[in-house]
Amino acid sequence: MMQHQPWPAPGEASAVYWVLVVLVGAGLLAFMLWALYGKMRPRQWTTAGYHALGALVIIMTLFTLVLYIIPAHQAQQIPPTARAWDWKPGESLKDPGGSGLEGQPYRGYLVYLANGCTYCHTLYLRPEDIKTGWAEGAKPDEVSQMGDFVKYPFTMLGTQRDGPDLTVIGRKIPDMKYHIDHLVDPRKFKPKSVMPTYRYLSERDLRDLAAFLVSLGNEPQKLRAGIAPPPPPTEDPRIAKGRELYRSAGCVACHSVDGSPNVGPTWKGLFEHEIEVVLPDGTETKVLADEEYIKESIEQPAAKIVKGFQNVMPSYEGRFSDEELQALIEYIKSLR
Amino acid sequence: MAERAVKLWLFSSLVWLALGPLIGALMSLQFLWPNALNFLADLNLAYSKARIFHTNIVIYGWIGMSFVAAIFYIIPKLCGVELKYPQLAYWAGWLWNLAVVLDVILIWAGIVGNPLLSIQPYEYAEAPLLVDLLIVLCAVAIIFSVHATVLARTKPTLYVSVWYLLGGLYTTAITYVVGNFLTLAFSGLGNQIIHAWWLHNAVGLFITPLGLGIAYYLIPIASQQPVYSHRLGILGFWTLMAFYPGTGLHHFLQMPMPTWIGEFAVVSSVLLAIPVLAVVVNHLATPAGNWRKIFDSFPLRFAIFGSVYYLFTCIQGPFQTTHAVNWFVHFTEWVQAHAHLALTGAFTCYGIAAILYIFPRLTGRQLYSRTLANWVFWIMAVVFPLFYLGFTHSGLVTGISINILGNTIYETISAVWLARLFRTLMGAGVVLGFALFGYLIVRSLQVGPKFAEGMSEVAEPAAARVERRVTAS
Amino acid sequence: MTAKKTAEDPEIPEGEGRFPWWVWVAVLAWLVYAFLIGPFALTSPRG
Repeated sequence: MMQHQPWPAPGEASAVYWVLVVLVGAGLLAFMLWALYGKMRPRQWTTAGYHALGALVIIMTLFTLVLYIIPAHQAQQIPPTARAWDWKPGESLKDPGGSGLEGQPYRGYLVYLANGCTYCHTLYLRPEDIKTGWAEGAKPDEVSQMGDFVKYPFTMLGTQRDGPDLTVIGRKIPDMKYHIDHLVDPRKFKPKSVMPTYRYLSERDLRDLAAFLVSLGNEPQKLRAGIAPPPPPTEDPRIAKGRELYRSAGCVACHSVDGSPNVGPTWKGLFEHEIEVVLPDGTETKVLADEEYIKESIEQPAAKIVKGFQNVMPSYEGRFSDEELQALIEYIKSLR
Repeated sequence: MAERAVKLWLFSSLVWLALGPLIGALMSLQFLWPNALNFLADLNLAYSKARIFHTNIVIYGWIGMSFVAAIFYIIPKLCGVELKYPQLAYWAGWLWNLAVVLDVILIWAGIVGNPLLSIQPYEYAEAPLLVDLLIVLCAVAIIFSVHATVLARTKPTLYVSVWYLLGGLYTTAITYVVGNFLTLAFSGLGNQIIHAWWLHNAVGLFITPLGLGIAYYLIPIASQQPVYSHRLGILGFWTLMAFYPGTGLHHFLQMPMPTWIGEFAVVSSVLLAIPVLAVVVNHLATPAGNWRKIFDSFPLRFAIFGSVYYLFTCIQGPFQTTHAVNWFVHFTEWVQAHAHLALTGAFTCYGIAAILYIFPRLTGRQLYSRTLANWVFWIMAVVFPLFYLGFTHSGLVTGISINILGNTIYETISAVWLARLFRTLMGAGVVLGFALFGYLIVRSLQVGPKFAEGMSEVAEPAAARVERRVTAS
Repeated sequence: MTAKKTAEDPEIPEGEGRFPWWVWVAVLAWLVYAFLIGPFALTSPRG
């Protein structure tokens, strides 16, 4: 009616469909006029007549069912995209975050189902989501296409969003350890979250669920090959500690390290670059992102807000020792 | 035996009515104080899971069982014969209860990856395959018994209620089989499209025709007026059957799918305004010549309120399926509020009306307290709309915050906290109303005054009775 | 009500009412909105 969706459809309706629509519409109009103004004979239906009407009820119901089965069947014939989720039962995934954990994404999908995750999280991105708050760091080319779903044994797209969409959560946070910690205590990372705790799940369930989450939004072939993201070969131990803090303190939830936007600005290429910030009184200015600035941003996030973002970050003052603060700075430095 | 069957279905439904909404209230609390209520999650009652218990208990336990009780009562009356195969109807009641209990237990246990005992990924059809099979057995028994009764009728013409109830039972059967079994044959997005067909028809082809059939019986008989129009009865029934089945995909309008089937769903939904107006005009015009009955007859009051809520639901429904509105309210609590307007408002009112009407005729006792009945009524008439408005408000704020202001969901949560608190408080009021209703019925079993045909279903206060006797003599 | 009824009467008699005129106005207004105005109205989706 409005606009054509940008995704490829497997053949739009044929002329037969429109002829059918016109015929049915005209029939209904004629029926309505008859029912309201036509001549009604004394109501003496035979039993056979009633049976015919009963059969008509069933036929009308099945008619639309057939209309639904046609596109349902077509949707199964679409060629899969490279990022189509295609994990098999029993197949396991090693944590790309480097924690050494392993889990089965397929079984994780069943855990996702058994615990009703689908009633608050969706698994598809609409084109308009990219322009609104629903996307939360998703990229325009990540809008869902038919081919993304072909390999799913069943789908749980979801009808309600009380939490963020999870279509690309694994691309945004490719870290099983983070997801497990977040499932156990969501408000440790997202202070305002209303998600219930999933600490009642068994360790295996948690691992598999985390593996499923990591599998979302990443090309399965790359994950299997252990490509995303490659660990740096040699490094300052402080950087490793900073990376560990980045995950365990929850920075990962809002700041990416690969340049993609999220709730907060990315850390990639941040250090020693000039950035535009907004001061609390509304004036805009430019500052150099040096050690001082980073320290201040961690302890008093509201002091200088990067232009284009909103300040939702809690203060971390007192949460880190000086040594930990330095480790975080070193980690950010390493993300050139 | 037929009476025992109706009693079993009726009283079971009351137990589920007390339980289902209560779980809903527990869920809504978790949105307000998530940390303090972590212990609920440890009991496997995290709201993501509790939601399944809530919807399943309300749909299958309360709505399903009270409607079937009403069908077992109404169909024999309209056909002028006793219910056929009452044994079957009676034992189906126990089996149905067993199915609902098993449904809740199995999903509570959270078994992963068992084809027979694990939850299924279809909204409102989460019941594991084992439970589905039990429900199908019950449905076959119900349909067999009701159809046999209609075939054995002494009145040749079928009244409009009978079309709705018998037709509705058949469409229920089709819908249930599609949602729980046909979906298994599809994978990928095909699975989602068939799921969508089931999703809305659980309301459209199961609850709606049965509820309307019951209202079509109750309203004229409680107001002692003929039905306003035979013609509108025909129009409403057949346009419902034509337009309702195709609407399901409006729940997934922007999912990647062929455009034409999504538009088909929208057009179907828009046209639903026609059967709705036909039905509601028919319901509201029927007691027009005898409005004062509404002060006296509680079944009539509840049924009329049910029809008014039905009208609101079905004005809102087609409205929100159009693209101009849908992009804005989709994914928010607006939609859940709409579902509550239909199930808590319209169809629960029909269920309560049916129970109020049937109970005295089944047990020979009036309901003992007019005050209590009035409390239940005013809770449904005043507190429930406030609950609905709070719910809708929360959805609207979410829609504005995310779709227009571009906030994330986390930034939106604090904005809807107050609306959610209001929703919980009013929701608790509605739950209390249901508990009072259950108490009213159960207590009347013991202390209700004797009922005879022609008397009011709810006993008048003793003082008023005495006064009237005095003026009469 | 049982007293008024004779044996061969249906349980509930049915009248011959039709739609009041304002229902037609409402239906027409609704169809015009849904198909002609709504899709292009102020509330159209962004983009």
